[in-house]
Amino acid sequence: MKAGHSQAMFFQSRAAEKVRNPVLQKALQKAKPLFSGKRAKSMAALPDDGLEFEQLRDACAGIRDRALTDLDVWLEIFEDNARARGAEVLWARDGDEICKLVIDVAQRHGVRKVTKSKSMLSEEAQLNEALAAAGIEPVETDLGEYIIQLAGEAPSHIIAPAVHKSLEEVEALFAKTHGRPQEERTSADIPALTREARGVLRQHFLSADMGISGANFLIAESGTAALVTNEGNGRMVTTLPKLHVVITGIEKVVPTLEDFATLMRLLPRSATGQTISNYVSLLTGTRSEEEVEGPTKTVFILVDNGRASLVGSAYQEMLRCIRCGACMNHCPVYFSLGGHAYGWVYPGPMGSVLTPLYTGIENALDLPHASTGCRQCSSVCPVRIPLPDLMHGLREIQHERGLRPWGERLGLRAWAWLATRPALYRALTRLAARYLNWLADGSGRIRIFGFAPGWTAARDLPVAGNRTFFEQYAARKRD
Amino acid sequence: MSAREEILARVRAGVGKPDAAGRRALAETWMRARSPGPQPVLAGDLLARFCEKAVSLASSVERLADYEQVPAHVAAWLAAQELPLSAVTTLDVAGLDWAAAGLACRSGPAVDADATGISGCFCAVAETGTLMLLSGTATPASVSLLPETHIALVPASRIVGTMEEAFALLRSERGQLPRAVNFISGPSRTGDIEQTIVLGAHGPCRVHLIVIGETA
Amino acid sequence: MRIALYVTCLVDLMRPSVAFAALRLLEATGNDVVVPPAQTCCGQPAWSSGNRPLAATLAQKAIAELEGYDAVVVPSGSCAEQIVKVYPQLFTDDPVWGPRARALAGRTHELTAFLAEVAGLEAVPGEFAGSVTYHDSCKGLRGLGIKAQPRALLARVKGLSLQEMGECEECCGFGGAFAENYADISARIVDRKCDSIAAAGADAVVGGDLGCLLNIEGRLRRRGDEKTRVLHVAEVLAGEVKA
Ligand code: SF4
Repeated sequence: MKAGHSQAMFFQSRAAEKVRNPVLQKALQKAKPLFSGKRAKSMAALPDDGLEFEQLRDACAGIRDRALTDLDVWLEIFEDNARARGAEVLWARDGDEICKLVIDVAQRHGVRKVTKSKSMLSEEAQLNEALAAAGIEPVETDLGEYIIQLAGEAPSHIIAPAVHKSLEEVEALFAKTHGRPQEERTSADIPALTREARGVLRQHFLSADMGISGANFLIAESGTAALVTNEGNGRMVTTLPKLHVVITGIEKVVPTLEDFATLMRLLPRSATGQTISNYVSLLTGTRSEEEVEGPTKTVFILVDNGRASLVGSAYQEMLRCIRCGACMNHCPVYFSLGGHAYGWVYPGPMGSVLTPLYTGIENALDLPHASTGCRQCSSVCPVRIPLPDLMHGLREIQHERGLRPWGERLGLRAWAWLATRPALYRALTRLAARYLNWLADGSGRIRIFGFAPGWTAARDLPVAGNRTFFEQYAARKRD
Repeated sequence: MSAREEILARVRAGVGKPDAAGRRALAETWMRARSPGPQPVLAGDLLARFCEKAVSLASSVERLADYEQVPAHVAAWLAAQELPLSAVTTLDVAGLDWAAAGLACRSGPAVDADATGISGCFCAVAETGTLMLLSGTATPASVSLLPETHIALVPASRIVGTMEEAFALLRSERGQLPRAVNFISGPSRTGDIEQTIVLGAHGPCRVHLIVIGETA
Repeated sequence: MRIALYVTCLVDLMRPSVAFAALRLLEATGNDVVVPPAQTCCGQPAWSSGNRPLAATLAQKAIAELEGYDAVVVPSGSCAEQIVKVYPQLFTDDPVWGPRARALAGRTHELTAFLAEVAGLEAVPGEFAGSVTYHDSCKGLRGLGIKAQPRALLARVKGLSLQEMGECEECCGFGGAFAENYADISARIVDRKCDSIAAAGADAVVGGDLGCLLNIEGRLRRRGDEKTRVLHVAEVLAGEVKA
């Protein structure tokens, strides 16, 4: 595996920049309660229908586990059924192979313009750049993806790719791209901006030669791609062009339509707090002879790009992920930074696990550590992925491979050495208490502390007195 | 080695179990058993539930006793919305007497200029207030997608409880999935600009459901 | 019942009154309370950094010191979680330490959970004239299910009224070494917590983990809030609060 275009090694410096970006902070501050509030409300309503979140997520995790523990078999079943319905099934080891396969299909069919429905795999492959280089115009059609494509940026959230963008920024992008003067806008103008994008993208939908989409799931029993969207762009790109290419990870397969129905009880609720997304499309094969619309050719590209190596490993649970975004929507770190600081395709807790695994542990040293261990992510994950435990496992690997900074290693060893010598420990902590108290100088707090510069950069260090508990306790016992 | 062989070999190594053929047979048996997950208990009757959910998803709902009343209602509804009295329809509903109600209807796939699309549905799901449409020669998917207004005729007798029941109905009546099954739940929407929900992103801005008759 | 109080290294050094408060509360349950004298650190910093061998060494030391009691009580959700959840993981397949770690885990309790659920403490000695808002620390809340217990106990404190803050279950941004190593992010998170605390407008913010409390207090003071008191739940319950 290689780092590819990952920038995850620059996490610290990017984070420093992101926490100081007022536009971004305002956008995140606005989105946070909406994301968590909507989810909470929809989950709270489950018992009205005799359903329980914990029971449902056991079922969902079970479905994903069933597929993963016999993944080879389910993939072959999917492939056979998809081919039986006239689809072509191709396989890609990595991002470069995705690009090659897509460009090859496009060139064979004389494709000049591609409309795309959101696909994270295409981000992994940097497909848009590759298409453009081959003279094929890619157009992102999810409104959020369209906005960031205009801005020349990567998505900052897996289901709300433009969550970091303000209304003013969108207005500026639209004015420039759509060739009109820029105006003062308020939130009352958001429908008008949406309409403007609709008009522009409609023409692209009608004129594209090929549609590219991801798939939320592959359904093995019928060889079907399941596509879940709210805007309807997923339907457009899979209905109007003659050619449809589905790019998806090999882990996305589920056995049956019943399994899909179960997963759909949690996916929209976890993602946006909807009981169901506006459009759920099940796409199987190609159009029949008599049909006048729909693709005449459907191509599945099943991608590895690091996934197969997780099968049967300590990180297999990560492959259960259904890309709902709930973990980042409940992550205090994500909401302090937005997604770009994470440096690769996937942000938030799931990204902190996936990025090191897919791009190399040594290329993303900060990500597994940039977590408070609050477990807000694992408490909402609809497929019960123990994200904090997986991050912890990656920390252990870093330690075993000697990838932790020497200062930390030495410090911990010294601390442990001391902690296993209680008498010495008592003596030194007594000294430490006096030292802290001296630094506080009667104010009850330390404002600048050389041993914890990060801490005192933003906080005081409260100091309660000059004697440790054990010192005072011993004195009390003597009295 | 081809990419396919290499990837599958890696997956097999990870799965770490012998006897792929035996496991495949087990998988096929398991699929045929159709074990559903936790099922909802839907209080009240399916018709009321469907209507209530559909309205909560920003669709409008009208109930009519029979198909004869549909064209006049559609004409009146379009007029009330100040929409043109014309539409593109799917073939399965083309036989209604639209012209008698003053509507200019054409049947077949929709084009960009169509303001209103009228379709039937394969069935509807009460749990979520969702329509299930199948693509086909008589039922082009574009009718429910390109026009800004989508009107769907829903026979009350075709309202089932859950998506699982809809799949069972599909299997028993059609045997296999058509090219596209579209579950539609209200107008298209987006929240991509500052998390503000706007109806009518790429698909219809308005969805009007006409529920016909009573449940059996 | 013989109870061992596990003081935690942070309380020992930074806020001894928490341990004295815990002692007072445990004594009020009518049990024998002992402070095992050789206790130091539970090993959580080593564990969090990914250093499993070091964490195991410190865990073995703690297990040996604490296993002879009927119950071990910890005035910290975070350190209690280390013993209850992590120690067994450290020795899953170890025929000697595995059973010992699991036995200790089964007898170890976070302070408020012990008082409310095991000891069934009815009357609490503390009095507090004013309103408090409660911050649910992550490890206690999501690791051990500490939520109702401190609130039930605080409700018995004479004069005290509870004024819940918005998002009381949201992380404060402490996270041990995280607060130092990712100081910018931590500061941003604790700022949101301080906003929630300020909006609640209570006289004091109360919690069950000293790490979180030092983080919150440090940030409140730096923001210029000299008024909102930051107290450990044990201090409030025991009346170890200086006026
Ligand atoms: S890890 Fe869980 S919560 Fe996060 S995106 Fe994946 S499924 Fe959703």
